[in-house]
Amino acid sequence: MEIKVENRGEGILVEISGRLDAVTATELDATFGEILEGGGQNVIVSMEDLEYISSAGLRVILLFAKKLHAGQRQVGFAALSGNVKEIFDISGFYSLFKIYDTVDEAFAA
Amino acid sequence: MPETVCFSKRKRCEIHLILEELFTNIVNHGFTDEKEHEIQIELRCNHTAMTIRFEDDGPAFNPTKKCSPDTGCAIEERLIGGLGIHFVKHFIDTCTYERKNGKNIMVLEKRLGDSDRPKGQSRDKKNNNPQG
Repeated sequence: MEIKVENRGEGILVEISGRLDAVTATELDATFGEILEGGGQNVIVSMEDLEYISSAGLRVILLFAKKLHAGQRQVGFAALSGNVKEIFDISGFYSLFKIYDTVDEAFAA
Repeated sequence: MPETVCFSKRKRCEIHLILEELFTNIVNHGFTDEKEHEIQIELRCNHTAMTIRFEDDGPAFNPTKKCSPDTGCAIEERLIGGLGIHFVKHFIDTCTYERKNGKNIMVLEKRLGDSDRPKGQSRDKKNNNPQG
């Protein structure tokens, strides 16, 4: 798994690629921890190149979202496909979060 | 060894997920003491289905009896756990559990065809609403 964090001024873009599983979820948790400490911006997570996600990944995402919410910040997700999209669907994340077709759409919203 | 069996990337992903979720569930919730434990995982495959068998020596735990999480509530009320078993139930076609000789034995079957399960079609399992 690879994680890229970019401050786009209007928000923070986090791009996750590869496999987000029980082993790699801790890396994402650490990145999210830094973002939580960093300041008041909203976050968009791009999953364009994410091939696989398991409940360990969703757990990290849900915890991050809860903490952001508590600080009056928001997180949205963009460019989901395949397995990741289905997992978000089964988990009810579509009704929980703002989900966009593309990163540009997410930042324009 | 049997001959090679081919199946789609999507099915491979689903099988990975089933194996990861069951394995981490057993380790995280079953092996909470300091003792050494053993998990045996057996995969058998023919051209139409894969049979996955898990055997572990943790305390009795029947994942098929576990309720699925409420996936419709607001973020503040949303609980963190329970999704792993929810995924397993979603992606397998049949599942049996037994406790025998101090071991948990789960046998799951997953069909490998991609066209045999159109979206929204009910499957032979209970207490699940995959499109919910």
